Amino acid sequence: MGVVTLLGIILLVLLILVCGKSGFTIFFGLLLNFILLFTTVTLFGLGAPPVLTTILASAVILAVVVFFSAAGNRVTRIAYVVSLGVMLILAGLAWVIQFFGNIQGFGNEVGEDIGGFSLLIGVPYSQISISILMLSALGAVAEASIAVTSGLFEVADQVPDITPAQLFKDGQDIGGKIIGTALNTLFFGFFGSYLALFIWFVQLKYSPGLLFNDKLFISEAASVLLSTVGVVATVPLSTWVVSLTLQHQAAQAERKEDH
Amino acid sequence: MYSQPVGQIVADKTGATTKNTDEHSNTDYQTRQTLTVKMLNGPKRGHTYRTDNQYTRSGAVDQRYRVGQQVFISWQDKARTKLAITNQKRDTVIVLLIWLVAVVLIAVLRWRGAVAILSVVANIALFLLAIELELLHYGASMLWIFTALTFAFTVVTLLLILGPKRQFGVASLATLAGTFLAYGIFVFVLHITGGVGLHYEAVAYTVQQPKPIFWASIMIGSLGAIMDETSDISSALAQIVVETPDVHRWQLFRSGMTVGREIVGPLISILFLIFMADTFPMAVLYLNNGNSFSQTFTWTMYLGMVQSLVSAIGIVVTVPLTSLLSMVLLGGRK
Repeated sequence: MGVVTLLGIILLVLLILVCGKSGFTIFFGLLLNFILLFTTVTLFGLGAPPVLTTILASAVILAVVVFFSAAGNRVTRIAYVVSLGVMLILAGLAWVIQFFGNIQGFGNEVGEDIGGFSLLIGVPYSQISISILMLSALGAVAEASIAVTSGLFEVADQVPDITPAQLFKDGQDIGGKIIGTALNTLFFGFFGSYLALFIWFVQLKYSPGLLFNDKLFISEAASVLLSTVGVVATVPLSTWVVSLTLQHQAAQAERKEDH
Repeated sequence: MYSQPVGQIVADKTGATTKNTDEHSNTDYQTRQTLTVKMLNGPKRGHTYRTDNQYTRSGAVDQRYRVGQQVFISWQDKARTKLAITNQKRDTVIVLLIWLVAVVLIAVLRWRGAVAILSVVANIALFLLAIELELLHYGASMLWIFTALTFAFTVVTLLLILGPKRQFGVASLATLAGTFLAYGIFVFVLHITGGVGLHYEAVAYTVQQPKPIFWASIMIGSLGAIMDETSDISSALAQIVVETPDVHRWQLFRSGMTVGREIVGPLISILFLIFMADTFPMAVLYLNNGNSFSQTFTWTMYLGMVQSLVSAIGIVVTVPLTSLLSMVLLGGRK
């Protein structure tokens, strides 16, 4: 048995022990997202336009993360709409970063690892870098929008006639707590992902000037920063959509009373 | 500002494009461009030079240059009559982005944003210090240094998020317990399976032994997510103890499990997407160089998958661990 197989079995057992039935759902969601990611890469290789493919795949991946989470119905619907909106904003920002930074493909550090490969594969790496920037932010965006939305509904349930201004203040408060910890999740995730590269930078004594112009360093830093922007953008956007929904509900309730 | 020579592209004449088909029948296009570079520093400041650049449609290791871009150059002869472009100057992009994010964080979150930035800066400093220490020992005591680093990261970060309260103690203990339990499970699985499928050679960018680097990255990769979780659960439970001091201990444990279950799924997804998205450039290269799906998976995605699974295990076991520690340390009726 391979390492991944045994780790997968252990994860499944632990998920069922800790989360019960929803443990199955979480595991299945993870499996589904893996299949989606692998399909996306395969489509890139076959010549599908990477940015468009990523936007479509992201819409499905977000649906899996949001709807397979343990949150209630009214929360997940809003969280999904908000994450889709933020994903499109991030796609635009990622395009700007790629346009000015040209962070595509492999850095000078890759060296012999790609020595035996044909690099003339016709797949636009400039678009793949946009795809990576978007995909690595998706999980954080989904998590933040679920947390902010469910937090806001809790407040609205306790204070039924809450004003939009008060709701925005609460949104900022809830958002503040979430962003602080979400930043850490992202930060360590990226450190863990690129530990070898950071050791490389330190061991070979990269000067700040070299580091801040290095393709790989910049694409890493841009990933963390863009994910942070995504998480921050989630807060006002969730608050806005929740407040619209509440107003809509209040209007409907009033109309019913009139009849 | 830079001691290296820097120039700016002032003109671009795009030449002919040639079609290229490689041995795996991938079609790509190569284009030659003639660029005029005006020097911005050094003794040749203000002088202009012509140079050629060749770029491909895929652009895996090359790029097209545009007018207005600044570039680092190297002189091709002693008399400085010929130059070649070595790299694009990208610092403006990243510095602007860092400022943008810092301003947005502080504008939206006020002091909380400032604390978040402070905690990131503190962690970067710790991280650099650890790598320097590690290099002093030529990588020999990598895992010990990263174990110590895990303790330092946990205490510093949680202290900044939670302050010196009781839940800080709960969250720190639970974070360390969850992280090292997951790490232990990883080592156990390696032992049982003999590491079948795991190729440390596939760790990219190694200047040292890849195995300890990968093990260390397993240790710290999920640390942020686990801290996120433990601070969420312990804060919620501390709140319950304040509001209803006579809450039963087991009720506290059950509430902790409920809070935890809700965040497990999304947290696992965050790390999974970060670890897997990184593998894309290499995976595409493998697929289009005649490798099978399983070869591509093994050589480009396997390590990311192991990292995702170990961190997911850490995230899951942390829920009961935090709930138990809260039950013992935060009080409540027996």
